[in-house]
Amino acid sequence: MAEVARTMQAGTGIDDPVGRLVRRLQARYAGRITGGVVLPERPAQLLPLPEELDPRLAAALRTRGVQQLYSHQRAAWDAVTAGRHTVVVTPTASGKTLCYNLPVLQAALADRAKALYLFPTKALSQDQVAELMELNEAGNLGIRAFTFDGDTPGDARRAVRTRGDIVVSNPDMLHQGVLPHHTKWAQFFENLRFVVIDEMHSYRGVFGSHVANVIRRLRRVCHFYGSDPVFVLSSATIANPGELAEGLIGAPVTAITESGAPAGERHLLLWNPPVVNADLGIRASARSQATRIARMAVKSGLKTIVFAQSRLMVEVLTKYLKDVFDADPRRPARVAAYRGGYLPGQRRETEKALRAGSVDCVIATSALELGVDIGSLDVCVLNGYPGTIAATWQRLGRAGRRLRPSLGVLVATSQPLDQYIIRNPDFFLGSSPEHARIDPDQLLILLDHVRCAAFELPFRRGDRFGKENLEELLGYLEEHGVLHREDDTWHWTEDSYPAQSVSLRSVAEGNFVVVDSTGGRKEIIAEVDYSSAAETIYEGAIYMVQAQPYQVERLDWAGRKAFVTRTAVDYYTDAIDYTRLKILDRFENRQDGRTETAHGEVHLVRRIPGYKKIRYYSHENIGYGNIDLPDQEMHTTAAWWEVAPEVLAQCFPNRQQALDGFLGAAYAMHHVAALIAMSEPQDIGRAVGDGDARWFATVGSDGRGQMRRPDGSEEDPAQETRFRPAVFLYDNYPGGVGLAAPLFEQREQVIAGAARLIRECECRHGCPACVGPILASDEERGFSPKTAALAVLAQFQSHESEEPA
Amino acid sequence: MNLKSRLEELRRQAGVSPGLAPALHQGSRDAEGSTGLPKPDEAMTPTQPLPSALRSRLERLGGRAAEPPGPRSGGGGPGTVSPRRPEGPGVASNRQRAGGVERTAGLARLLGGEVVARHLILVESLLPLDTRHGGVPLADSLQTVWPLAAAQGSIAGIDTETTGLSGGTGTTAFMIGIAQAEPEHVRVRQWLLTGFAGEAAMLVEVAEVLAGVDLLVSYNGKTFDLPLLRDRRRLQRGPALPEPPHLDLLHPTRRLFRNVWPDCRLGTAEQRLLGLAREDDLPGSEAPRAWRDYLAGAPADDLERVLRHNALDLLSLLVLGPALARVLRDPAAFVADPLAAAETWNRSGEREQALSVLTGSRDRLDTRGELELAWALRRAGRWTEATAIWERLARGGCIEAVERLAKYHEHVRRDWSQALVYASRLEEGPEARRRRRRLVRRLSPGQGRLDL
Repeated sequence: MAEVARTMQAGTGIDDPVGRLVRRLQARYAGRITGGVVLPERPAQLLPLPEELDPRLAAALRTRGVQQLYSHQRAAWDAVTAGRHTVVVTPTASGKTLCYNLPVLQAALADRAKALYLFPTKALSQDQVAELMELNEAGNLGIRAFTFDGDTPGDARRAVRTRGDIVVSNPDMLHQGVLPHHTKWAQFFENLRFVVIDEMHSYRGVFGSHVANVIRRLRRVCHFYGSDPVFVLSSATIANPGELAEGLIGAPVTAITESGAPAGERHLLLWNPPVVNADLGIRASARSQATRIARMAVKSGLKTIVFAQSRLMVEVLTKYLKDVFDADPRRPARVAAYRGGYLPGQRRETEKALRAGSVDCVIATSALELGVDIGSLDVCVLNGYPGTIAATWQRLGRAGRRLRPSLGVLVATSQPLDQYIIRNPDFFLGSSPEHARIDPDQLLILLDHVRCAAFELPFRRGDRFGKENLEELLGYLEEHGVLHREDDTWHWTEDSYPAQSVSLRSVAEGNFVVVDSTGGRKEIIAEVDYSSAAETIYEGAIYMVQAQPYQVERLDWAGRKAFVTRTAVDYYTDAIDYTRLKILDRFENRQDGRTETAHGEVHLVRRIPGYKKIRYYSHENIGYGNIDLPDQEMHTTAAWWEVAPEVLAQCFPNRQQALDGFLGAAYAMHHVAALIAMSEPQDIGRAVGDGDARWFATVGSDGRGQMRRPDGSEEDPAQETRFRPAVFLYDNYPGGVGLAAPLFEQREQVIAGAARLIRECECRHGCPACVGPILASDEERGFSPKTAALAVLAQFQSHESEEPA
Repeated sequence: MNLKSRLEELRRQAGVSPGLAPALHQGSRDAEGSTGLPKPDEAMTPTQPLPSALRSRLERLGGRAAEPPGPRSGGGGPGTVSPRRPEGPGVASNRQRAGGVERTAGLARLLGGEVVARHLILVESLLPLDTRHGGVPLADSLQTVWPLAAAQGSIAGIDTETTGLSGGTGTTAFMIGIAQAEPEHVRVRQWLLTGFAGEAAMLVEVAEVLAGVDLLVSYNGKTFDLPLLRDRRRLQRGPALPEPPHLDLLHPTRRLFRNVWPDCRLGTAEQRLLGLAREDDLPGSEAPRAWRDYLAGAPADDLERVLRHNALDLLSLLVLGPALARVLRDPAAFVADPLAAAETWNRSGEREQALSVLTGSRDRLDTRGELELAWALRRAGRWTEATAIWERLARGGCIEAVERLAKYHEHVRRDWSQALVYASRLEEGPEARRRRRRLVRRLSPGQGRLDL
């Protein structure tokens, strides 16, 4: 977004209804609008259709009103037809699908070349097939595109394998259903010319690391059949599209980042609900604000979309808006809901109504975020921050097609991430800070896919797969009797189907399943990673699925099952986490004698001795429970920040306050780090304590920090001989998935972001949106956790101007 | 830290379920390994001793296993180091590499076969036709399988033993058996791999045999064995296998006995139809382990049992077809589903056989069976008997019988008022409405618009 013109004023189109709405909102709710921007109108950059384009294809395009290509479409054509792997980064609704459909269809027409399309979700695959088919019919091209996923009936699968020119699927299906049966797909692989990977930015973290390995396997199988397909990827705006693409496919990739699509003038407002309780930092709900904005927009005659984070929220918002606009049942509905869980037919109908303009307001989940064509809308309201900046822009892109002015409003909830984003418009509106990271050589993930790959085709000495020593991995599997080596070839001998036990969404296979046993049922409703099981599904825990609370009745640790029943309670549970870390190895550091920032390898031991019951809204502690689980240990990578004892002695009247400061700073840093790492907060762990595992800190029942020895007993901070606390942000997977090093690289952003989050929070002494829950009584003691946290962060920042040690 | 020890530790920390080996063996039926791997030869020396650093690392991890990450109440430890691993399969395979040729030759002698290619043994035997297989002589294999298949000429049974049942390209057939009924004897040929290098040659030999076969008989071979061989051939980059007409006996067995026997496995069919009770038989599910153990250096006793098991399967295939044909001729005698038998005859165009099968099992017919009988009678022109059945069923509320009667009275008897009586009992729908309008029109011409 480098060309962004930043101004708080409405644009030039004085008389357009969007401009009028913006001015009205700004006039009436100035206090709630924390920032805004106008992106000027952008004309189309057009180039002629390629001369070598098949005349039937050109005719099909003209039938659909395409006489010329946008510059990025033409650039993609040139790169892909030259045989270069290509990633296209373009905003929503910029015609990215033509970037890959054109070369694919051209090759299918010319040589019956085949293509594989991978989408992260099933719904999206269906839409893509529909779109391809429209072009196909328009030009009478005779191309066959089929979806192949879990819903494809058995008798149709054969036809897909042998007759499909374009097969549309997803990475999970490729991993479990296609590659292990590649002999049945021989014809397809022999002629495979293109692999299209849409929504590339969703392949990051653990999932992305797995997908990169699935692609290694795909290329290996292609090689067996003598093909070497060209990869075409598309992505929303992230900071490192080329790097991610190269990591995913393991080959150099040409990145096309300049969009030639036209766009109308776009207004964006950042909206923070008003504070209703300053002491506790409680704000009015985002829901109430989103409803209000949508109501004003629809009343102004503007087509509006509201994005909610959960299906439940979609239903709630729909009800509120229907109460206003669809009170008269005799008139056609003006408000519609759209979310996963609805039948495909229902969804298609809503899409049609939207395209036809007969619905004025739609409330949707992310199901509508991706490629689904719903025509042009004027206003987009986001009820809560979608979690990444890339997803935010994708959703906002839903409004403002076809050169009309549009408005997007991001309404923050009281979650720390939302509050951070809403108060830092620069962070949001500047160039994308989000780096999508993957670590395809994460040892456990790599081992899983070496197993799957060995099942698919025997490995021979000298083969390559990933960057670790393949022969050692094969030797390891041989020692375990999984592979048999004969004449320098490793053959699969196990009576098993390894892809079945490898989930692309987790590291290793120790996952727990959550079983709903309400009223004698036995239904699996969720899966929990081994590493987070101890802190989320202990007996007594309240476990939330789609906003429905369940209580864990029994945890079968060996069987990897948690049995839960539906419940209705007004509290949630929070595990007490005793985590201590020992620094094993420093990979890189910066220090100035007062403080040190570093990243490296750590060994951590976590004990979950009990949990707290916390009442909603008031965050009042209403009880405790014990948890009897063994210690968890993990080797992983972390970034950490340490301050020398004498510096702390100068800054704080006592060690207790320093400890509180560290805990508050860690809380804020954790949330900012999740944002920068483009990950969920639970992918990163945080801990405060001694870097040699002498002691660690937790928040006690009185809301104050406590110092504990490794055995869990409490210690007076004043008595500790080595008071050198550190904040650790660690990669919450055994072995790590590559999150720690980037946090070190972007340490200035982490610290500056955390400081802003706390400083700009409107609470008085601290709240769940900045330093974590605190008790009201702190105020009386004349101590502010906020101030303490800021003092710690100031120290972390102090050495950044120094030279590396 | 060395790669292997890093792996051991990370897998344990990631909660890979207790015991490393079973976790890697997930999905394997014999993962428990309680029957265990036979102790490798004591004299054997590991050719790749583990580095001492790795060993100590492993031992340290093993020591930690005293405090498992499972609940304190138990539930299994972390990556308990399997005591057999240091001298485990991987090492044994080294020994096998060294003495592969002699070992294969030794096994061939033990099994009474010959080495026909590197890592490939062929065991061939000729069995006189008066040999008893359970309660039937092998001469039965020359009897007809009509109406199950129409083949004349060379009939061959095929059965494979594989490294697993889960399917996918990681599954290999390590043994392929083919039995052929010949005028003088039954010829059984079994190809056994003693290493993966023999697979290509095995498939070439099997393809040659298949090219001369007129009817292939199997049990579940259409779903399992043949697709597997096709895939293996593809992986070897060989030409496509010949595909003679294929009779998969699982399907007629299921149709006839699904509701009669507890299951329709081959063993059950053998007991019930051939009077064969296997003694000391190695269960088919044990076969993958037997071969894996052999590769890992274990003695070949269990492979010998796999060979025997496979041969019994093959002989059963040859005599089971004719046995099922006997069942089809007289299902009542075997308590088989008469309707399924009748349908088989019908598909082969033998309507009289179908009728006689149904008449012969009259007392065992359910409603569907009776409808089929009535239909067969009607086709044979025996209207009185057919309508008697329909009427009885109609009284019991069978709508299909009511419809038959409506049609019968309208089109055959041309008794429109009787037809209307039955038509009015039909389920509401456009067809029933049309029928009733038509009948009313016929009963009182001119008032056809009467709305019913």
